[in-house]
Amino acid sequence: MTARVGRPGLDAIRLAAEGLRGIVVHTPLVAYRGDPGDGDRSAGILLKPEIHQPVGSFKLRGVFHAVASLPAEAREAGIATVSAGNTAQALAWAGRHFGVPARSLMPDTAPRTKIDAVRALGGEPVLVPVAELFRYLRERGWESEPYAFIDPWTNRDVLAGHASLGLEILDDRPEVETVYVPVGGGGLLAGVGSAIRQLAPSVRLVAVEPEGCPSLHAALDAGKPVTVPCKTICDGVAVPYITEEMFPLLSELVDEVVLVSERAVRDAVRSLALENKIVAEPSGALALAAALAVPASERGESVCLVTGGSIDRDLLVEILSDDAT
Amino acid sequence: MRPTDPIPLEPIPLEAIRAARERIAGLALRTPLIRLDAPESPAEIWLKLETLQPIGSFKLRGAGNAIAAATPETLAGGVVTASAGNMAQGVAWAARERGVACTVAMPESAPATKRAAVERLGGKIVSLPYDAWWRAIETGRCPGVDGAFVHPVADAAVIAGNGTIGLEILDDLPDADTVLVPYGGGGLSCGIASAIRALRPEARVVACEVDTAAPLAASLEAGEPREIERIPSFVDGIGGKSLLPAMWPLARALLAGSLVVPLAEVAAAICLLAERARVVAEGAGAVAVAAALSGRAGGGKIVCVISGGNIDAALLARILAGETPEAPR
Repeated sequence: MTARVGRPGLDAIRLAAEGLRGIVVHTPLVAYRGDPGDGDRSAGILLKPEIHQPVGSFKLRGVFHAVASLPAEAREAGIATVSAGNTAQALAWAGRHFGVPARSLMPDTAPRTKIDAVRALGGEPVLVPVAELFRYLRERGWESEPYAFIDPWTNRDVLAGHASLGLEILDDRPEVETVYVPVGGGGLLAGVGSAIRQLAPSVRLVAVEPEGCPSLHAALDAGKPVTVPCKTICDGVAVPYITEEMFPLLSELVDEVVLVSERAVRDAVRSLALENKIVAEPSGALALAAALAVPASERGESVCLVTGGSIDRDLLVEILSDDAT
Repeated sequence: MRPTDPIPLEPIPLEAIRAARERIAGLALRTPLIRLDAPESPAEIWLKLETLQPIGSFKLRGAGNAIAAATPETLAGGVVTASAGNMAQGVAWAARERGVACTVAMPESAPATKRAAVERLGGKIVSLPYDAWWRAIETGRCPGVDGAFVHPVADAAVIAGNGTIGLEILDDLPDADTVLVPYGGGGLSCGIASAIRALRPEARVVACEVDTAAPLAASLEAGEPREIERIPSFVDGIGGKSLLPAMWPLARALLAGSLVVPLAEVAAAICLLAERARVVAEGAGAVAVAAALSGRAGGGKIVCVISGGNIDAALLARILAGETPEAPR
């Protein structure tokens, strides 16, 4: 049975933003500095560095709000989720905050950095092959388990928490014209998009995926969710399908889906580190990579969500050395 | 030796710092204060991310305030500064915003990347032999170049601009116990300390230096300015062979000592900032974190000022790969 996911309303979003005060950082919008010689390509880009959230990604917004919204007795039984890594860190952080156990089913291919970070926060990562993880999701494996399950994409409170990010953008920069949002399962897009559509309907919402895992792009082409092969360094968004529940909402929210090459992602990671002094993981650099492919005259003032920064040190070193001679 | 002895500066009045905050709003970023995830530390460590400023360092605050506070007549002939690095970008940025011409005196040895950064902001560069360049900083004059001189450190308006960091820290963390600040010329630490002392006298502001070049620690120990043997290192934003004379009385009065950290701990702090805070810091920007993690700054709530992140790709890659780069030969 699939119930389609609806937009969280403005009241729910404002309530979430209120509850998150003191927990998450109101991240500033910072001007992208651009490579020397970029010219118009890098003009009018503002970054929203969600990497500076306590667990290094925006995920704490939705996950914390969802955990905080659970009835106390449900929460005390423990909390659980499935995650490529960032949601698991957010869940572990929330578990530590409330003093309850937090368990995350994670793909055994998740970056070491993310697995270690979950453990360091006192969370329990359960590593399984990717296929098993998606089977668990399809078969709703959590229904037979005692822990309160936080669905990272369809949980209403998760979406409302993520949507707080949309409020911040509009508070800080009401004149924004385009917002670039990376898409994995679509939770971030659903949340941020819901806030922006209700408050500033003319803002253009661009969903961004890696060429190597174009699940939303393929679904929009087909008119329904399809499963795509996933091969990309953007581990944070490597979700091979958009769920039936999410698809209607996402397709109604987005103006456009753009695909980004691995090369462009690496360049964006490098440029974020050297020009703006922030460490982004590959999926965290997707939005910037997408905006850089469009001249400022076409996209107008643009906000790029820099969603996460959990990158293995070896990969960062490799990317920093990409063009070094 | 010097044509004019510098006039020692006084602590900056709170009103001047508050006025600076008004002036630079919209020019410099109001940076966030974030918690460092460091369970191994006895202290609660917070990071003030000046790396997020549009020029990648705090210098925009002081330069912005000095230029915004100047009268149109003063600025009619443009502005001049002497800097090898971050201040050059700060002045060039602020001058461009105000629509005035900017000239930067740089030592002939300044790397091409730093020249390019200034030119990119519309600044004109005058190359000077190192000694002549240093003399410009000491005397606050740049002979033969027209324009109002904005001193990179020892200028009350510049220090007041830096002091706005202190206001923001206390807005975000009113019960901060200790603020750790890298000590280069002293303008950053003394600006912050002026604000903190006025608003929360029980909090300490402590300077941080690297053991390859720590003139403040040596001077504090001696009770008078001392010249030291300086070993050049990758920590190039701080650490001269002596103090700027004008800053000594202020530093001695306002700062609760200087913590000196080894180069290897600075390299480790750069790695930790990248991994746990997703921040790219240059050497000078990471010394405060190295000092906090050493435990020598004590417990309680410690704010580390991450002053800048202008580090080149190859150096950052080496440090992240686990190296502590040695002094350039």
